[in-house]
Amino acid sequence: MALIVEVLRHGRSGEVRERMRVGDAPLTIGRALDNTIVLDDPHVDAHHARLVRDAEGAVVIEDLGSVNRIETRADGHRDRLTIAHGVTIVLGRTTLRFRDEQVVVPAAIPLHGATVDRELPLRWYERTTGRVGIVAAALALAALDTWLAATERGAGSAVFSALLVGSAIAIVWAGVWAIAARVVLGQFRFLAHVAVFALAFAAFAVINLVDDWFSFLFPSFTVFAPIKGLALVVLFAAVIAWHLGSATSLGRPQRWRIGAVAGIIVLALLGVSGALEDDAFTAAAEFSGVIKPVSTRLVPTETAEEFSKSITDLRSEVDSLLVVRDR
Amino acid sequence: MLSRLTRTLAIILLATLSGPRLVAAQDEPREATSTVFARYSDRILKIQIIETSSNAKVSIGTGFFVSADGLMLTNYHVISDRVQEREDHRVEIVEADGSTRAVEVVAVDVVHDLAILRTGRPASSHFTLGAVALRQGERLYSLGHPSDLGLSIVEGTYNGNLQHTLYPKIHFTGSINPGMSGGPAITNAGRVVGVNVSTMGEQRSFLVPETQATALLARVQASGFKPAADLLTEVAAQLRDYQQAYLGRLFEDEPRMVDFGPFRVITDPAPVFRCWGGADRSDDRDDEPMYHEIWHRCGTDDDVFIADDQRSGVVELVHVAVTSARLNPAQFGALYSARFGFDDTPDGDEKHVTVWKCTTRNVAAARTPVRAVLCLRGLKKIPGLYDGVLKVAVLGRSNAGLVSTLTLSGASWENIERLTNRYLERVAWR
Repeated sequence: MALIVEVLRHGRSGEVRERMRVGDAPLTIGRALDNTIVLDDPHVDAHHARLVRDAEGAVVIEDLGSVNRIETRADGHRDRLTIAHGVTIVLGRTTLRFRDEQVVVPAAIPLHGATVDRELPLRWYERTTGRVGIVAAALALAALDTWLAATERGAGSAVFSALLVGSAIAIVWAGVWAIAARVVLGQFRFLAHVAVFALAFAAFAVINLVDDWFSFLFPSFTVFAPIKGLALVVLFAAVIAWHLGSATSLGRPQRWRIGAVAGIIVLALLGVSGALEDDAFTAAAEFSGVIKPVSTRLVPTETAEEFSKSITDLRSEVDSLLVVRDR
Repeated sequence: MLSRLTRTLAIILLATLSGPRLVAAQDEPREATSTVFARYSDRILKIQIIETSSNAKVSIGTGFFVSADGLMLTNYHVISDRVQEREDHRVEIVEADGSTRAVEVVAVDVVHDLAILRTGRPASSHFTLGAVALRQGERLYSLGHPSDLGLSIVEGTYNGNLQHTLYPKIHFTGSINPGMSGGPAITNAGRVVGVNVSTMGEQRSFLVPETQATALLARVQASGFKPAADLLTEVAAQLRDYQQAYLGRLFEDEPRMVDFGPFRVITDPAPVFRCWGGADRSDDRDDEPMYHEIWHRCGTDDDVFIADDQRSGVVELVHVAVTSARLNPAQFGALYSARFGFDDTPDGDEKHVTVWKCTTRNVAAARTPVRAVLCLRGLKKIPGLYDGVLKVAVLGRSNAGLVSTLTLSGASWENIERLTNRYLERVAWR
C-alpha cells in the first residue's frame, strides 16, 4: 500500500504545497538526496527520520538522532510515532501530513457564477472594452456634473481638478481591492475594480440628481431623505458585492450577504453617531435651498392659505421643544 | 456678498475680560472737569456680577445713587445675568474703600435698558433726577469704570435724541467704553441727562434719557411698590408689550416698494428703518461678468438686549437679486440654490433658544410663485416669544432670481405669522 505524504504551506493550516505518493515503508526522510523523501529545509538533518512497519504492520516514524527531532502538535517532541491518516508532524520547519489514499473526498462545489478561470463567454461589462466604456462614461458624467455647477469663471479648471481628484480616489480605492484580489486569487484585475468605482460614482450622481429634483418639486415630502439614505446604503452594499465578485471566487449569494452585512454595519455606525449627535445643540438652520430654474408650470405649489397652515404646524413643533424643556 | 453687508449695531458697554487697548493721549484736564469729578464721584460706584461657584466677577458696570435711602440706577444689561440665571449670579457694589456689598435688583425696564438696585445703605449724597433743558452742543460729563480701570470722567457733547429710533436715545459725542455702562452723564451743575448705555466707537456714544430713568424710579418709590417676585417674568411681559408696539402695525399700511433689478421689493417699511444697498459683479473683467448681484438691506437700531447672545426687536429685511447673461440654466440654478440655501439665521445660545425648525414649500404667492422657507425657534426663558426667519425665492426664470429674507427676533407668533403672510403677498416681478 502506497503512502501519501503532503508538504503543507508554512503558517497556513491545511494548505498543501506539494503532495507525494511514495512507496511503502521502509523509507527515509532527510535533506540528503539519497532519501526517499527529500526536504530542502536547512533545519532538517541529512538523514532525519525513517518510516518502518512494526510487528503488527502499522507504519511507524523513527528519529535517526536528528538535531531538531520529530515534533508533533499534540505531544511535542517524539522519537517514535505511529503514523495514521491525518497525522501531522514537523521536521525542522517543514510540516508533513500523512494521508490514506482510500479516504473519500467531498463532492465538488458548484461555481455559482464565479468568473475565476471560467471558460464561459464574457458579458459586456466583463470585457476590457466594456469596462473602459464604463470608466469613460463616469468621467464624462463627472465633468458634466462639475461644469453644470460652476458659476465662476474658469469652469474648465474646476472640471479638470474635479476629474483629477476623482481619478486619484478611484485609483487608490481600486488599487486596494486589486491588491486584495492578487492575494486571494493571484490576479489584480485593476480595471475591473476601477469600473466598479466608476459605476458606483455614476449611481451616486443619479441618486443625488433625483433627490435634488424631488426636494425641489415636493419640499413637504419629508420621506425623501430616508429613502435617499436607504438608496445610498444599498449602493454601498452593491459596491462591496461587485468588488468581491472580482476579488474572490465567492458565490453571488455569499457576496451579496457580505455586502448587506457591510451596509448594515455602516447604517448602524451612522445611526449610533446620529443618536449621539442628537443631543448637541446647533444654531444652524436646516432647510432645502435647492432651486431649479424651470417654468413655474412644472412646479407644484400650494396656496398662500395652505402655507399659512403649514407654518402653524411649525409653531406646534417648536412649542413641543419648549414643553420638553419645562418638565 | 452677504458677508459684506454693513452692520452698524452699537456695542453695549458691559466690560468682560479683555486686554488693554491703545488709548489716545488726552489734553490736560480743565479745571471745570476736575471740579465736576471731585464734586460727584462719591455718588458713583462700580457694580460687579459675581458667578457664585467661582466667586469671581464675570462682568462689571457702573451705578449711581438716585435716592437718600440708597437706590441705585444702572443698565439692565449690567445685571442681566442675575435676572436670567438668578441662582448662579449675585450683584455686588464696590465701595470707595474697596469693600463689597451684595445688593438686590428691585425693578427693571428691559426695553430702555435700565435697572434699579437697592443697596441697603443710605447714600450720603445722591443725584436728583428731573428734567434738564439742553441745547445741542452743550458739554456733558460721563462717569464710569471703563474696563475696570477705576472711576473715570469723560468729556463730551450733547447731540440731541437720535431721530430714527422707536425709543429715544441721546447721541453723546464722547468716548464711553465698556464698563461705563450704567454710569451717569451729567451737566457741570450735576444734573443727570442720561445713563451711559452703548457706543459705536469713535466717540459715537448713546445715553438712555433721564425721563425713562425718572419713570422707573417713580415706580419704585410709589407707595405700595413691591419688587416683582420673579424679575424674569416681568422682563418677559415687558418684551411682549414691546414687540407688539414695535411689530403690531408693521406692513399694515401699504409698504413702500422700490424697483430692484427685475423685481419690486419692500423698502423702508417704517420710519425707524434705515436701508443700505450695493451692487457687485462676479468678476471685474472687461467683458460681461458671469453674473450680477445687487443687495438691499433695511434694519433698525432698536434691538433690545435680553442676554449676551439674545436680542429682541431685531427686524431686518435683506433682498439679494442675482442676474446672469452668461450662465446656462443649470449653472444659474446652482448659483441661485447656493444664495438661497445660505444659512444666515441669527446665532444663538442653547441657554436661551431652541434649535431652528424650518418649513419649506413652493407657494403660489399673490403675485408670483415662490419657494418659501420659514425657520422658527422659541425663546426658552421668555414664554410666547420666538425668533423667525422667512426666506423667499422667486421661481420661474433661468437667468434672474430674488432671495428675500425677513428676520424677526423676539417676536410673538401672531406677529411672525402675520408678517410672513404680508411679506409673501408683496414679493413681485417688476
